[in-house]
Amino acid sequence: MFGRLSKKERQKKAAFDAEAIVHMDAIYNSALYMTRNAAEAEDLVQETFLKAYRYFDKYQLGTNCKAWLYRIMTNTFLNTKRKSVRQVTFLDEVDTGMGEGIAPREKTLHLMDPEAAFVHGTVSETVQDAIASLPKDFRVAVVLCDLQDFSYKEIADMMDCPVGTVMSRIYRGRKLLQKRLTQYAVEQGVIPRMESKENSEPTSLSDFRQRREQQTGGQSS
Amino acid sequence: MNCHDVDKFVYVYLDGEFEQREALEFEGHLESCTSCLERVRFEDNYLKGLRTKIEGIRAPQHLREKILIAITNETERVEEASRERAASFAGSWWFSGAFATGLLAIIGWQYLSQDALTNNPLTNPDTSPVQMAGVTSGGLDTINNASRLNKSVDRANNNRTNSTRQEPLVSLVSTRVTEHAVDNHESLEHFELSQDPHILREQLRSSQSRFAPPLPESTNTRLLGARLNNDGLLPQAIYRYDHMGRRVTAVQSLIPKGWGRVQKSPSVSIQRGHKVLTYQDTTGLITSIVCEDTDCDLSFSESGHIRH
Repeated sequence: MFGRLSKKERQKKAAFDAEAIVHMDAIYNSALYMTRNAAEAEDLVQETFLKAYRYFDKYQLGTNCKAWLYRIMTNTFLNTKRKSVRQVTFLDEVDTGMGEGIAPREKTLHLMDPEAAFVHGTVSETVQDAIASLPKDFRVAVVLCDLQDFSYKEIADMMDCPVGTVMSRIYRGRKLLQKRLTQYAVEQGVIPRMESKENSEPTSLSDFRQRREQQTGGQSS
Repeated sequence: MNCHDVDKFVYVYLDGEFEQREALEFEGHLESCTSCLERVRFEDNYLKGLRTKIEGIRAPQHLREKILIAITNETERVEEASRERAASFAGSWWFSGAFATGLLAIIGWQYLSQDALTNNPLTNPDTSPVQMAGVTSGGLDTINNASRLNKSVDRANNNRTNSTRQEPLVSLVSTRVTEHAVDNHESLEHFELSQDPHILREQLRSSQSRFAPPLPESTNTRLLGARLNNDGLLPQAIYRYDHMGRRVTAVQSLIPKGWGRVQKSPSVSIQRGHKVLTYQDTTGLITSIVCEDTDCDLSFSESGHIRH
């Protein structure tokens, strides 16, 4: 199999092994978080490495090969998804108007749970599920930032969008994630149910009666 | 920096994306606002927690093996294909060259033998007495022969320009450039192109060729990237544009001087659902521009090809 390759191709292959193949674990891990399933992740990783190999001449040795591979992967992932799901306009709408409307809820959460027990008390699978439930563009931005620690600029380059959009996607992605994880944590009893006004009002009567009963019970004993 | 800004930029700060001055300003607000300080601590705890919960899952061994095999196959396929392409392309040129020469020889021979036949007074009943006389008179014979020879060369030349030599060249080269343009339009992705305009210009200049971006840039038409290729035989430049949100790809090939004009006038055709404009300028550069859709208005490229 190998003997038929020219010297130039063999050298290229050796360089590719040293520069690119070494990042396969990281690429696979991110692909798993992006695609939400192992088979799709494997296809994405394979396509990424094949494309990378095909255009390895374009890559300049000594520059950041990992970032280059991530760029190919992100591009491949976003493009294939875009072809199948016409979700782009919707997400672009979500992207605009960053931050507004989320803050009030957070204010109560950070006072109730200053140590962020909601995430520390959870399990990895839950976090994985929660990331998987994020809209695609937010998910990719969060994965690139929180799994791989790329800078906003690097992520902007990989996602082919302005840095401002990356900032907004990371913000919104993490906030959505926070919201989902808080819900899990409440269900698991890791943190108490939030006593914000909107939440307490519909159940106020039964809550009130329950509390009264407990209080009177406590007083009589 | 106020509480709203802290809320908005808390991750920018925690991700270390602020410049030093901005970070100091941010911290300045935190010193004076306990609510924001708590908020930032909470987010910091959240991110740290989140990152510890993200597992590093290694790529399975079977995937690793699958990819290494796929790459080896790809390498072999590419080498095979490039060998075949070189062989078949050279072969087709050789063939068309041989074909043209052969045909020319046959036609030339036919003309010459026809001339010989017309010249023969015994076999040609229409031969005039003057010509018959010419057979004997040396001076007249020479003049007649010379004019006939000229005529026959003219006819052969005519024939050559019209069908024998020019046609296969036209169909081969311009079809090939057009096909290449459509292929690249469909499969070339933006990360394969050089995006930095400075690098691009440098590359074009250092290639010492006459390549130049074929479309004039405007707010509607933006050059996204380009790359230089050597398509086995012809040096090529590939350009990718964005024209009003639609992908436009152009391929330029340099035709060697001796080949003459392979594309006499600009042609517009539909290839695999794309509209393609192909034209050649006076310097020998042939350009094929591919639009995403068939209803695309190619008039935006006109100023480009008029320029040439």
